[in-house]
Amino acid sequence: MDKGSIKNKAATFFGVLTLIVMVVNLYLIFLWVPEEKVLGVVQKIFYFHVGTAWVAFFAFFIVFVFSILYLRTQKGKWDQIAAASAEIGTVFTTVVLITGPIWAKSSWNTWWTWEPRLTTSLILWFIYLAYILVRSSVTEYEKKARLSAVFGIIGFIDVPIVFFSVRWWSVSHPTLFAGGGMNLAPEMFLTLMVSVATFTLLYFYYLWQVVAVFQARDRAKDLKKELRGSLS
Amino acid sequence: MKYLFWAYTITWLVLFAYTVSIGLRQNKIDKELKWIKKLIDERKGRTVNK
Repeated sequence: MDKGSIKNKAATFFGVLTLIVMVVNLYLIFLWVPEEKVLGVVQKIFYFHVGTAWVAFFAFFIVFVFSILYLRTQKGKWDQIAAASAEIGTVFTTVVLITGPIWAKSSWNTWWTWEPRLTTSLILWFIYLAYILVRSSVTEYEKKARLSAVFGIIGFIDVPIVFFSVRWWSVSHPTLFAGGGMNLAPEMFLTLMVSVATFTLLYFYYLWQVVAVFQARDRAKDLKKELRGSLS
Repeated sequence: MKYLFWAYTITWLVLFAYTVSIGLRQNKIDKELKWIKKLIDERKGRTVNK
C-alpha cells in the first residue's frame, strides 16, 4: 500500500470519526441535556457557540505558534499549517459571530450591542480576514509567508483580549469561568465538553484537508516550473 | 425555538459550505496536477523519440 492511499484512508477514518462524534453531540444537546431554567430551550445555542469559539481561539493559537516556527526556520510546511489554521479559525469565528447575535436577540432582545466581548470578537474576525486577504494579494511566496507570519503573531494579541474582556469590562455577556470554576450543572458540563471535543476533531479534519490542498498547489507550481524549464 | 433552529441551521450551512469549498479546491488542484503530469510525460516522450 502506497503512502498516498494510507493517507486517504486515514483521512476518511478521521472524517467518519468526526461525523460519529458530531451525531453523539447532537443527541446530547437535543435529547439528553436538560433545559436551562431561566433561558429555556434557546440556551442550547450555547453548546455550539462556545464549542466553535474554543476552536477559533485554538486555531489562532496554532497560527501564532507556526508563524513563529516559520520565521525561525523558513520552512514552507509551517507556513502552510499557519495559513490553513487561519482560514479555519476565520470560518469558526464566523459561526461564533452568527450564533452570538441570534442568542443575544432571544436573551437581550437585540441582535448586536457594542459591548467589549462582541466588539473584540468582531475585531478578531477582521484581523484574520485581513490575514487571508494579505495572503491572496501578495504573489511572491517568501514575501507572502513572511508578511502573514508577522500578521499571525501580532493578530494573536486580540485572542486573550477577547477571552478576558468579560472579566475586564463586560457587564452583559455571560461568564463561563467565574470564581476559579465553571458555573454549570454536570450534564451541561459534559455536553459542553463533548461539543468542544467534536469541534476540535472537526478542526483537525479541516486542517488535514486544507494543508493537503496547499501542498498539492505547491506541487503544481513546482511541476509548472519543471514544464517551463523543459520547454525553454 | 425559532432562534435555536436558525442558530443550528446557519452553523450547519456555514460548515457544509466550507467542507464543499475544500472539496472543490481539492478536485480543481487534482485535475491541474494530472494535466501538468500528462504534459510533462508527453514532453518526455517526444524527447525520447527524437
